Formats: sequence, C-alpha cells, structure tokens
Amino acid sequence: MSTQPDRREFHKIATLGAAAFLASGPARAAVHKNDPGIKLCAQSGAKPSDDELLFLKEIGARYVSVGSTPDLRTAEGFLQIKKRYADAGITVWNIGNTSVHNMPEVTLNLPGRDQKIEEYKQYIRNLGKAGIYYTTYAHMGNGIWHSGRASVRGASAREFDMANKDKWGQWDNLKFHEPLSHGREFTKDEIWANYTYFIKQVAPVAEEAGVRIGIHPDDPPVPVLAGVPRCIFGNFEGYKRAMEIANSPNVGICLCCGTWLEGGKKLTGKDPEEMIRFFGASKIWKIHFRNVSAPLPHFIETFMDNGYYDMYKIMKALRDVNYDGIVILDHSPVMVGGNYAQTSYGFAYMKALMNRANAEAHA
Amino acid sequence: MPDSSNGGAGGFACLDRLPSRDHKGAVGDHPMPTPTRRHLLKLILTAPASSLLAQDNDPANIKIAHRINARGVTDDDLLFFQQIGLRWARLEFGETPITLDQLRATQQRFAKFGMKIYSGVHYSYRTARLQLGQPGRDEDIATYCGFLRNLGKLEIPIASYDFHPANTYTTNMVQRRGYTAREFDLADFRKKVEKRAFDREYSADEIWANYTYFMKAVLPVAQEAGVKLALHPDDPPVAKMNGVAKLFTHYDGYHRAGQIANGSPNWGLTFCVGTWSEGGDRMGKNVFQMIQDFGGRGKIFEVHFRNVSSPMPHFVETFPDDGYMDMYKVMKALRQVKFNGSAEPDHVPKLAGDTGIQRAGTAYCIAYMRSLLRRANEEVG
Repeated sequence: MSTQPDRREFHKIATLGAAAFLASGPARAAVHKNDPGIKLCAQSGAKPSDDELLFLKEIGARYVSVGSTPDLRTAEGFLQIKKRYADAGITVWNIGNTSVHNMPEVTLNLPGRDQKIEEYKQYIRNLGKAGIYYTTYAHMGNGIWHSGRASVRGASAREFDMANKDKWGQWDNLKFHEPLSHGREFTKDEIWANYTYFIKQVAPVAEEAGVRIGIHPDDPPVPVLAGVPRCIFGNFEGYKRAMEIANSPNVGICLCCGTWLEGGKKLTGKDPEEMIRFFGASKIWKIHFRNVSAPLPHFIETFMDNGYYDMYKIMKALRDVNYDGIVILDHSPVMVGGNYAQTSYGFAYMKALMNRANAEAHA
Repeated sequence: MPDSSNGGAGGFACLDRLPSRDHKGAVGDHPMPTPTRRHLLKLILTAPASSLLAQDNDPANIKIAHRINARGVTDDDLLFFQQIGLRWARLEFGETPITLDQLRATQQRFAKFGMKIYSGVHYSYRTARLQLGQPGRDEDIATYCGFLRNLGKLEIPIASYDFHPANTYTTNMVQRRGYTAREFDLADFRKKVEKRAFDREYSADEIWANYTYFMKAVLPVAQEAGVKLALHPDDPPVAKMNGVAKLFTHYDGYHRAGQIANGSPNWGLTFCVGTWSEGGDRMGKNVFQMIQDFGGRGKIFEVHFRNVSSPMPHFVETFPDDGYMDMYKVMKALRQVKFNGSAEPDHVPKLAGDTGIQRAGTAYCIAYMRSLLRRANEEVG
C-alpha cells in the first residue's frame, strides 16, 4: 500500500469508517455484550487435565481460547468443553475448529465450497447454542507460510524468508508449495468475489446465532504467494473493504499483531496501534499478541520483548479505545520447560503491560 | 551473531525441515510448535537485531538477574535462562569451599550461555560461631575473605550477605490463587514455632559487636579486591526471634551499619523489597523512602524484587502482580535514582508442575519484571 494519508485525511477516513460501521443495521444486531475491560486469555486444549486447569488459575488466566477436537464439534461437545473450564472458574471465550478455518475451497472457489460453507454455518450455529459468542475465522487459500526454524535467544522459532526457495504453506494436514499452490494464478477480483460469496451467506447466520466472527489476517501478508493474492486480509484497505462488504455487526477483526508486524507499515498501510485506533472496539474482538524480528521479506517470530515493535503501544491503544475482547498469547519460541514456561513468560509480560495501560488510564 | 555452523539464510540459524506444527492440531487458533529436545539443543543463540535490545544492553540500566544455585544448575537450566533473556546471575555457592579455579570454571560455563555473574554468595559468613562471636570465627572470616578475593580476581562486583542467626522465614506453606507460597504469621510463630535456638539468648549489643568484628575484618579485604558488600535485611523484620536479637529489621539498623562501614564505597544494600514490604510502615522508612535515601546515594547494589500479600503480622509471598505493593512504582523509583545494579525475583512461588529451578514460575517473574522495566525506562528516560 502506497497511500500514506496525512493526519487530517487520516481523521477524515477514521470518521467515515466509523460511521460506515455504525450504519450497519442495529435492527439485525445480535452481538453479545461483553463485560468491560481487556481480557487476558490463554490458549488451551479441549480436554484439559486437572493440572492444566490449576496452572491457568495460578497464573491468573480467567479466559481461554480453546481448540476443539473432531469428536467435540457439536453444540453438546462445546457445552462439555465450556463446563469443564467453568467448573474451574475459567470462561471459554472461543472454541476453534481447524476444519472450517483456512478453507481453500472457499477462498479459491474450488469444488466442494458450498459443502464447506454449510459446515461452517453449522459450526456457527453450534457455537451459538453452546453460548460461545466469538470465533476466529481465517481466509488463507494456501495456509500459513514457513521457511524453517531459527533460534531466538536459544529458543526455536518459526522463520519466514522470501528468499528461501523451499518455503511452504501449511494448514491442518495440507502443505502448499511454490510456484503455484493450486495450479494457476488467481486474480484479486476472484478472491474478492469468493470472499463476498462466503461472507454474505455466513453473516446472517452469525447474526441469528449471536456469534461474532473475527477475521484473522493472512500470515504472512505477502501480496501474492504461490499464485494466490493475499489482497483482502493483508492490508488495511483490504480489511476496510471486507468489513463494508460484510456490513454486519457480527463480522469483525481478529488482529494478529504478529502477522501485522510481519507485513510492516509498507505492506499493511497501518501499524497495529493505528489499526486498533481506526477500527476500535466495535470491530476488533480478538488480539493475537506476538512480536517479530523485522518486517518482510525476512522475519523470525520472537518473544514479546525482543522483536522490533514496542508491544506496549498495542496494549495502550486497546485501553484507549475501551477494548473489551480477549488478548491471547500467540506462538512462543519453544522453551526448555515447555508449554507452562512459555505460557508463564508471555502471560506475565502481557499482564504487566495491561496493568500499566489500565493504571495510566486511571491516572 | 550469525550461526555459521548451520549456514542459515540471512545470518540466522535454520533447521532443515523440522516439521513445523505451529498452525495445526487442536490448540486454539494457533497451536504451539513442539520440536524435539535434540532440535532445541542444536540451536545456538542468535538474537534478532532489535532497537529494544540495545536498551537492555545499556550498562546504566537495571540488570534483571536471578538467584541461581551454582552447584545444582544444569545445562538445560542455563539454556532456559538464556531463552528468557537473562544476562546476569547472582550465584549462591552454599557453604562448601570454592576455589578460584572452580569459580572461574563456573563463570566460563555461564558465559557460554550469555550470562555474567553480578554477585556471589558464600555461606562462610553464616556460621553460628561467626555470627555469635564464638571461638573459630576467624577461620570462617578467612574463608570468606578468600572468597571475596576470588570474586575480585574474576571481576565479579558484588558479594551479598546477611546477618541473622536463628532466623525463621516461614510458619506454613499455603495456596494463593492456587500456587504454593510461603506464609508467615507472627502469632503462629510465637505460639507454635519459636524456641530458643542456642544455649542462651543473644542481645542486640552482642550481635552488633559480632557484626562489627566481622565487618572490620572483611570490609578492607573487599575494598582491596574491588568487591562491594551488599547487606540483606532480616526476613521477616522481627526484632527478636528464637532468642536472638535481629539488627536489620528497621531503617535504624541500616543507618548504624552505614556508620560502621564508615563511608566506605564498598558497603551498601541488597535491598529486599519483599522483606521491607512485610514490615510495612513500621520500618522507619518505607520502600520508596529507602530507595530514595540509600538508592539516591548509590548505596543499593542489588534488589530482591518480591511482593507480599500484606504487611505483618501476617503475610503470604506472592507473584509480583499479586501482592499489595505496586511493583511498577518500585521499578520506577529505582530508575529515578539511577539504580543500575541487579534486580532479582526472590522466593519464586511454586506453579503446577514446577520442580527444580521452577521454570514456569521463574519465567513469569522475569517476564513481568522486564515488562515493568521497559515501561519505567520509557517514563523516566
């Protein structure tokens, strides 16, 4: 994105943008109202052990974002997950389903897309029935891309380097390679048409079910990868247009700050702080809190404290816009001590930032 | 620093074809990757270039460190410390003698993981005969002086010590927010725990005499060796325990210790925020006044960064975010007096699954402190 609006223009856009979202039909609104305040959230499994539940309580994690296993992808299954956590005093905010996430059929209009869309709608209805009011959706046609692992302070972390010819995309059990992941080059118009086809069907279901859908950016936000444009969820203008097309109080954003920082302002048009200030709490519903070493063409996922971005800016902006969704610890470099040590490190870092942002707001 | 052994693109270490599982599986939107231990150990430190790192490397900045048992620490532990970004350590050697060669080998071992030793603790100063003024104390003083000289030879700047014979730290272990932490209840102590520790009681005058004797012997050696002695307060700050008077339970004790040191630049404090918070407003000067007073004069060398649930007569040790003290204000106050020594988590509470060095709890404390320090640096400049 080459557009760099000046400050005056920026405010104009911001006002117009906000107005457009406000006009998106309160009559249909079926958005569950959140309790006020930033909610720090841990990622956890569908079938946590007693030890895991105790650990979450100990670090002060009161919310979790959970991945479902195939056997639990029904309303009853989701209720079962929810109850298991509720008994330990923890609220399940989101239950993911990898089968209806990054669906090439949908993004690229491949055979079977209507079936996938039906599967997605059923998933949304199941969430609604189970009283899960938020879900993250991602729209990558050929997965999340990697070029290998690198060391960050001696910890193994995901690396992506455009110059690496062996890089690959991946989602669930699928792997994608250059030069063309799906046999041909796709046009931006196709990608937009496919998104429109999907979201127009899904948004009314989400509204009826009372579920918010936060759309995750394409990771990494390279303009085109293996023939597939990442034109919608790879930059600010794309998101803005996508929100306008959806025109629904139940379609918003899961801002993966890691992905956004991978793009850098040159590709995305706005940094994470600016995204939060533009879209605000009425459109941003989940934050993936992660840092990287540098913007594209080459990055390594880092710890929150040693990437190129000051993560406090994100927390401060969230507080300033009265954000009331969840902030999750995203991927961590792999540490000696495993998941508990990684979660502890990230969670404590986020908590200190949140406490500061809240204290400054009250000062 | 590029990892030449792996020939990684762009100066970074690349593992060839490690199956990456970041984004599949069943954990949330973005499950965690799980490379094998073998892969992990293959990796070498390669810190990405970052403007934020420069700040951490600033010698004028507070040094985030950790208390480490020098004899028990494993290579896996050291790799863990490297991963949480630890660059400084306070090494505790227990009471077994330690030679210069052993100390040097330890220093070199830590250096391989990017860590420097900021302070050393050797318990030769902690013997009953030394602290109670009994025959044989000169032998222990000689051992301690040898330790100080060795620290000096290896340019380890600080030796931390305390002077509280017959101390009781804990009356119970309790659950707080689910984690296991130390509790001290003064009434329980007096009723259930306290008993005379030695053949007779020891008065404050006697302990002061023993302390003074010790300091007169070791301070000149420390000065000559270029090592600074950092005195830890008596935890908990109770004026008499188990029949022995305790000196460093109030501002006045530190004031007098300063007079005994007679203006030596080689004497100062290991300021334990935890202990001082336990005392509350009964300490003569509160945590912030202590930082302004001693810290403002460059007399704080080391800080134990710990929080508690409430002041005495009853307290539970907590994680930094979970006690009554606003630890951000503490960090900010330290920056305001330009404190540039080490700040260390102290008595890390036990999280589920934690054993040994308590990696999860340690990661929690270090991350929280680093986050506070960043904000304090931004605010104070």
